[in-house]
Amino acid sequence: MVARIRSGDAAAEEELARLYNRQVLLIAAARTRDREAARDLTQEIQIAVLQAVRAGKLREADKLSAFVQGTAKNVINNYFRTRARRAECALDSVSTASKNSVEEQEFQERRRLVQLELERFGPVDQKILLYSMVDGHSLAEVAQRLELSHEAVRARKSRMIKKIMKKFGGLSQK
Amino acid sequence: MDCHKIESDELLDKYLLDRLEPGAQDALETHLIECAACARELELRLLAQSALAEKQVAIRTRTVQRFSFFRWRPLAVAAMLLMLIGGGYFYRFELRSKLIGGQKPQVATATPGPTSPNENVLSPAPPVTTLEAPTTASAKPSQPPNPKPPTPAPQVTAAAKPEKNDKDQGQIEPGEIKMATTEPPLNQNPAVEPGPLVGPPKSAGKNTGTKTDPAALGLTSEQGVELYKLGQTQAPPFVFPGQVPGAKIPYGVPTQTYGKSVGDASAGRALFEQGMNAYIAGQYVLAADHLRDALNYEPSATDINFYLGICNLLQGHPEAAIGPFQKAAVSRKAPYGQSSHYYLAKAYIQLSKLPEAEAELSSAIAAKGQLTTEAKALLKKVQALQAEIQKN
Repeated sequence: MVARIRSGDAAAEEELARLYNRQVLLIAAARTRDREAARDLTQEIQIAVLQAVRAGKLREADKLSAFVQGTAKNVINNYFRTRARRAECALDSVSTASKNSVEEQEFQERRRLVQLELERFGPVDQKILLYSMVDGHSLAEVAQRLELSHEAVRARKSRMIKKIMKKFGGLSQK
Repeated sequence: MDCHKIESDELLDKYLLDRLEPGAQDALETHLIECAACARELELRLLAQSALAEKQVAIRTRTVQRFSFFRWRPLAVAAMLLMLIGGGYFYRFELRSKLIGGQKPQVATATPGPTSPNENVLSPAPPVTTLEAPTTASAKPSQPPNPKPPTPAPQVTAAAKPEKNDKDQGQIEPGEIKMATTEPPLNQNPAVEPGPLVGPPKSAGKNTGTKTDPAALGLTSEQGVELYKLGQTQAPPFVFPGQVPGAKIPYGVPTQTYGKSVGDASAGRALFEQGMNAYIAGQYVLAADHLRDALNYEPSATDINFYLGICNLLQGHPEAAIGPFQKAAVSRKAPYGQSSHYYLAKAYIQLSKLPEAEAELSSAIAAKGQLTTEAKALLKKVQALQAEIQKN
């Protein structure tokens, strides 16, 4: 694919974008906690990767994933440094906007479904997730706070995560 | 980096909390780009984290229904009765069959009823310590045990030992706690039943570096009893401002708007209200839970720290009460300034740290307030006990 991109194959470029778009968007969203900014950054990252590959800056084709990650890290870190919007490259703004709204709707729907599932958990289970995933307490601290054993907290959290994965793992954005 | 390591080391959670080293973060992100399964899991965790953060106030204030012995007491009573009756019939049957067969019974006569005066399994004491003589000491073995709950009136006896129950919410009748004023002085009227009494912890299991066992300190039994009495603590009353004493805000009816984000003081106040509702109902474990959550929003709040200290003390965790009381005492805000020193002294007494207790009582007296008389009386007794111990 790298060779095809260097030779100017537009289909290869689209394939690259399609292959890494979701993961890059996920990393950007996890780092910035801002969906809007994450979408913008994903475009920047994709463009930066394409430009670099076209220019032959990727020496080893099998290191493409690491190259994408490194580019993403640099772009995101730059975003944190500047916190300023950059000029978007020439893209079909209409299709982009509509795609964004569809993606946003899908994201909101997935979030709503996960929220409904979380509400089905008991109060202790919800507190386990809240204390560990939002407050950042270790499982040992959560166990002490809820007067449970460490193993019980670990098992319950693992069970809940697996349940959510089993139920919603197939609903992730393609 | 592989999927197993990511799961075993909980790297996704650490990543979402920005707790990974740069190298580990790079390796994880590279793996996420290559591994669709891990990427899916990260996305779902991100969604869950977002959903939890949005509903965190509701989750924090949601009541955790712990196992309450009193809820299951009728079933426990019925189960014990059936077991004892069944056991009685079994032994009678076996006795009869062995007599008919000309054999001596192998088992001594066992009749229904408690086997020892203290084995009051059918009429358990309330989870929060009450000083009460065993009610079945004079029960006849042939009679079924008294299934009625013990009376709430405490009777101090030398043989009674404080019981500690960390798990239960400590269901106490609301009437047992006297609602007087918003200030936390002790009930001055000895004729009125003020509330549950808690003595020093039973063992030194949770104390670090301090021997709380009177026997380990070389105390005589009288000195041990005296130490126990001095450490007894009553729940200071609490009334919401503007509320009639004894009134309770029903659960689920917020009196303040919940905060929308972390750091919002109104969320702390809401949690404080939930905690104090539980406190008024005598549910000190639940109250402590809410007050600890409230401290996430208002870590320096005097009232939250003070009542968290009280809840820890009433649960039999004096070592956990010290920190909150010290924070409340620093503020010197009336009436918590004096009260914090006073109850901090109680905590030290329960931990058998009499010199520290003496210092706190002196501070309480110096602070002036409604507890001055009690503090002076308690200081006198602590000093007298110390003098006696030194003679041993």
